[in-house]
Amino acid sequence: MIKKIILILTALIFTITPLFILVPSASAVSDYDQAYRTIGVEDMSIEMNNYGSNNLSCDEFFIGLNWSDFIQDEDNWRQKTQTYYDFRDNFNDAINNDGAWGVTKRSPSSGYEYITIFFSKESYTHNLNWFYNPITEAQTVNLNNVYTGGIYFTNYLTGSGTNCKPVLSVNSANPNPGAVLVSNNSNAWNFFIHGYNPNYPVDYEGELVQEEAPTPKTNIYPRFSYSINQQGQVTVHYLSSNLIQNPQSIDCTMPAVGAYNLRVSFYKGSTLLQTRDIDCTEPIFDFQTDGLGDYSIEMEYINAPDLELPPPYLYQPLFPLEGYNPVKSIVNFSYIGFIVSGSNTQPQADCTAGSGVNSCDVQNEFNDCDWADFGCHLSNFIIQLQIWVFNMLYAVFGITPNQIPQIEQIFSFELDTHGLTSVVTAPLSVFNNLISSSYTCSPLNLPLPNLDNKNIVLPCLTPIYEDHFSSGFVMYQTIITGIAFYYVTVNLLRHFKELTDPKKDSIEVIKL
Amino acid sequence: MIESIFLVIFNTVLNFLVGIIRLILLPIDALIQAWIPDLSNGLTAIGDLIVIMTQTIGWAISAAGIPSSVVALIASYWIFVVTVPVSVWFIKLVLKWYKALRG
Repeated sequence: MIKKIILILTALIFTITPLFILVPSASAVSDYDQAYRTIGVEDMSIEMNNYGSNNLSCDEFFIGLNWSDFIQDEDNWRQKTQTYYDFRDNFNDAINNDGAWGVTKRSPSSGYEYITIFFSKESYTHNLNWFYNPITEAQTVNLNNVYTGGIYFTNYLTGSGTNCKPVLSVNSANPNPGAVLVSNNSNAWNFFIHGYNPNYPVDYEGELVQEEAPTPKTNIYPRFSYSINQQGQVTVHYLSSNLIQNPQSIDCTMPAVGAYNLRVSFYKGSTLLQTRDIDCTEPIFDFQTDGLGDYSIEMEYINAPDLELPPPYLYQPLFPLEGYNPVKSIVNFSYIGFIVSGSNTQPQADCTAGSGVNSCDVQNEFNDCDWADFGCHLSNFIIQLQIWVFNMLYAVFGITPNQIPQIEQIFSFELDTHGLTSVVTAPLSVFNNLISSSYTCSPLNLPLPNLDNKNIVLPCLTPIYEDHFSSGFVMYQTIITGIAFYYVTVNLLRHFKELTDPKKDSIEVIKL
Repeated sequence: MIESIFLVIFNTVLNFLVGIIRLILLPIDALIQAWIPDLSNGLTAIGDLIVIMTQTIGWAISAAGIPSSVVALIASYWIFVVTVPVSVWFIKLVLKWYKALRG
């Protein structure tokens, strides 16, 4: 019996195992599927961060679709030698006479990037060549008989210095017998390769070759405007995006637009003062400036919902991720007292003047006066004087316009006082509170020294007196009331007497 | 009615006094705060101490067993003292000017 079971199990194992080995999996890939990688136009840029022993660094240089124009301009060449002129002529010959060409971005080691330009003339065979190395598992796409040039930062080519000017560097005016377009074991991304037969390997299921330069995504950016009052309070108005024409009509309960989708950041210089996530239900919001200085407001779409709005909501979707590129809208302005001068960083920001809001244009509070209009000149003079006073206050005392209290606040007890003023006005505050009947008894909590969170609590004593000495306490209070009444009556009479004297004009004062 | 009028006059006088003091001391305080911030903090602490001390007044009145009606009576008396003479003085002043201009 046991033998039979073992035999059946063995037969099953030998029957099933070949099935796993021989039947190809539905998700199987060819040996070339990882070779080709591509990027979009928004990634067509190079930068350098602390590269090499000299820690070379350069800010991002975005070339986008301008790589071809870059080659044409001699000012972008590393050298103006015959090699470069021949390179340019051959390139123009290739693109004008059915040649083939393409662009790849490379980052062979951490810290630096460059762009390689390939082209082949009409007389060459334009096939992509796919290779697979079973030992290293490298998957490569190669080009034969191809001219190559690169766009590098100058200091990368020289190995030192701070010259970050991007230049075209060409080693040879002759074609290279073989060059790597992309490879799975190197950091290279093909932007596109035009005019080549992709020549895909059998069973290829990898990324398709990008045969044309990708169309740039449409920038979508929030439109807003701002206004600023004399206290330095900035009010930002979200208007719409450059693609949505009628934001006020969007039903904010729709899931596509109900989620938080806008982020507003408020900077002083490079310091982030405040950031807020908002949706279209909140088109107006305020920021408070932190004194005089240079500010910027940035607004961007975040958490882009990739949803289509169904009928009857026939508005354009907020922005489907495909085809749209969210771009920040930025406005810079300087707050110098009453005057706000500013500029938007077009094309991202698109401030529009509207009712109750100001445009992003320079806001000049000075009037444009006719030479004989003295009232107008006087008005400008007063504005100038106000600016001067504000600047003086800031320079000498460090007081910013938003720290200057309103006149009604000065003549009240609402304002928090400090320094000498707090000492001098303390008795007046006491008196004010006394008159306002705010001195009702509350138990005293006295913290005990050297004991954390331990207090002595002294309860109000009147209820205790009433409980324990009810009749005696009533008698005591009656006597006190009588004395107070006597004191008040006598003094009132004296005052009435004085008031009836028409020649006496002294005024009683409180000795603080 | 009359008491509330006096209360308004009294509050106005107090607010006026506080405002004048603030205006006079504003540049001095700003200078101290800008150039000797430690002194400014020290003065503020003294003011805060006075405020904290005054928070015990309610408890002290209760401990002394003084009825709230007495406190209200004394407060009203002082409002009367500091407001009515001012009003009368002002009326007398107007009458004086009237007589002077007339005669």
